[in-house]
Amino acid sequence: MTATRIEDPRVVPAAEQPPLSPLKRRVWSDRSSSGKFWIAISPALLLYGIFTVYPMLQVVFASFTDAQGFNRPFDFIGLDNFVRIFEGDAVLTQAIGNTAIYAFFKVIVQTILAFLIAVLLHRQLLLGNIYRAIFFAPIVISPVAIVFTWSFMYDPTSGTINELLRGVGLGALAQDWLGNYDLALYSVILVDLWSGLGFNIVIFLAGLSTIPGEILEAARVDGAKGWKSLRFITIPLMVPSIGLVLVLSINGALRAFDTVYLMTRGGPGNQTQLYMTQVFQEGLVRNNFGYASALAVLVIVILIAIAATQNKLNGKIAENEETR
Amino acid sequence: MNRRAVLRLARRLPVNLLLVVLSVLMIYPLVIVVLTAFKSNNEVLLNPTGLPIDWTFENFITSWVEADFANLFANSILLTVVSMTVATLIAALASYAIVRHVTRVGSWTYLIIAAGIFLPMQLALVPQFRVVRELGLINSYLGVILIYIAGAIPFGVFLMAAFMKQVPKEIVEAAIIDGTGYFQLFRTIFLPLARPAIATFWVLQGVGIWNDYLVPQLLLTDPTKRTLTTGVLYFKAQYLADWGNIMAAVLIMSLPVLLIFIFAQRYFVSGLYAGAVK
Repeated sequence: MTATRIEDPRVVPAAEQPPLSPLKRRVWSDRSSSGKFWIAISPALLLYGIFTVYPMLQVVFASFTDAQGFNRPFDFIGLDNFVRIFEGDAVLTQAIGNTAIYAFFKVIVQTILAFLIAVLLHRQLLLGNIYRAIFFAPIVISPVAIVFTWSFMYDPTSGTINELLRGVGLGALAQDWLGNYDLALYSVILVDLWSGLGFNIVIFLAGLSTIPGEILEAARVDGAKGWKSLRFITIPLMVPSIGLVLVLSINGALRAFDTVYLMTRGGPGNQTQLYMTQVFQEGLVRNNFGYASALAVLVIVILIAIAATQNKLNGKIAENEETR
Repeated sequence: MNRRAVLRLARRLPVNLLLVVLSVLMIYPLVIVVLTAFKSNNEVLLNPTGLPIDWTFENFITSWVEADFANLFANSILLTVVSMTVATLIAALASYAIVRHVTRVGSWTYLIIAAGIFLPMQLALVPQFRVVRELGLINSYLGVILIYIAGAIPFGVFLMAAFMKQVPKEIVEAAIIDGTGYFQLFRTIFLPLARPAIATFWVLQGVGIWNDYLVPQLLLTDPTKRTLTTGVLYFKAQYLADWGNIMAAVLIMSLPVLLIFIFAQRYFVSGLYAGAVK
C-alpha cells in the first residue's frame, strides 16, 4: 500500500514542500468532512455545554451580582464581591490560612513521604505486592467510608486512638481530636494524608520504572550508592514526576472539600474551614450566592493558571529533552 | 559467605522495618473497620481496640436490611455503569473527531473541553441543580447520569485524544484510500486502539462516580433512589454512634471495590500509571 503511494506522481513532488503534502493534509485533517466533525463532536459539546459550561457561566455571571437565593431578584453590583474578598472578611482569612497549612502538608510532607516510600517499594522486595496493595487501597475507598472510619477512631470517649493511648499509659495525651481548637485541622489533614498518599506513590513508581537500569548500574560501578545515587541520579531523573505530583497536590489542596464537609463542617468554630468548604458554606448554607460565586471564580482562575504553567513547563521539559 | 548474607540482611533490616511500620499505620484503619464490624454495639464501647470477644455477624444483617443495601447497590451500579458507558462512547467519538480535524477549530474545541478537568464542579452545583430542575429531571436517575456524563467528558477526551493521536497516519491514509468511511474508521481502528486509555478512564472516573455523594444528595431525594454513599450517609445519621453497625455498613460498601481492586491490582495500577504519565 505504502509503496504504491510513494510512486503516485501526485505525492512525490508534493513531498518536497514540508510539513504536509496536500494529499496527506486532505486525508489526515479531512477538511472535506467538516460536517462529520460536528456530528461526531456534537453529543460531547451538547452535554458539556448544558451541564458544565452553562452552569459555570452562571457562576461567573452571578459573581457580579448580589444574588441571594435561588429565584430571588438580584442587582448588578460590579466588582463589589471581589472588593469584599480582597478587603478580607475574618472567616475567609481564616479559611485561607487553614488551606495554606493544609497545602503545606499535602504538597510538601505528602510528596516527600510518597517519594521515599516509592523508592523503597521500587526495589524488588519480598512481599512487595502486599505492601503495594496496602498503600494503594485507600485510593478506591469512598470519602464517606473513610470519614466514618476516622470519625470512629477519633471519637473522644470510645475512639480507638484514645483507647490505644490509655492502653500504653499515655492516657494524658487522649484528646477530643476533632473538637480541640488547636488539633482539629491536623486531625483532618492526617485523614487526607492517609487517603491521598497512595496515588502519589503510584505516580512516583511509574516515574521510577522509566529510569533505565543501566544508568543506576553505571553509577554504582562509579561508586555512587544509596543516598548518593538517589541524590545525583534518581532525583534529577524524576523531576518530571515530581513536578506532576506537586501540581496535582497544589490542585488537590485548593480543591480539598470532602473530608471537612463530611467530618467537621468546618468546625469547631471555623478551625477546619478550608477555601472550598467556605465557598460552599457561603453559597448553599448562607445563600450568599453572588459572593460565593466570586470566591469560586477566583479559585477557578488560579486553578487554570496553575494548569497553564504546568503545560508550559511540560513543553519546556520536552524541548530540553529533544535538544539534549 | 554466611556472614555476608547476614550482613546484607542486617543492612536491609532498617528499610524493611520502616516499611512494616508504615504499612501497619496505613492498614490500621481498615483493620479497625473489620474488627469493629464483628462486635456488638455494646462491646465496641467496652473494647474498641481489641479483637472481638464475641464474634457476631448480626451487624451485617441489621445494616444490610436497615440501610436497604440491595437497593443501594443496584442504584450505584446502574448510575455508574450507564454514565461510564455513555461517557466513554461520547468522549471517544469526540476525541476521534478532534484528532481527525487538524484545524484551529479542532484544537480550540479540544482546549475548551479539556479545560473542564480543572473546574471544581461542586461550585456549580446550584446552577446545575437549576438546569436539571428546568428539564424536569429532579429525582430521576437521568438527571444524575447526565451530570456525571458531562463531568466525565473532559477527562475522557483528554485521555483518549492523547492515545488516538498516536495512530500512525499511514494506517489512516491506507484505510481511507481503501474506502473506509468516517465512522467505520472510528469503530474499526481508533476505538480499539484507545483501549488502554478507556481502561484508565474507567479506573479513575468510574471510581470517582461510584464514590460521589454530592450529586445524588442534591438531586435524588426519593429514599428508594439513594446510592451507596447517600444511603450510608443517611444510615449514619440514624445510627449516630452505633459503631458496630456503622462499620459493618462501611465494610459492606467498601468490600466490592476493594475486592475488585485486589484481584485486578495489576490492571488497575497500570491504568493509573498510564493516566499519571500522560
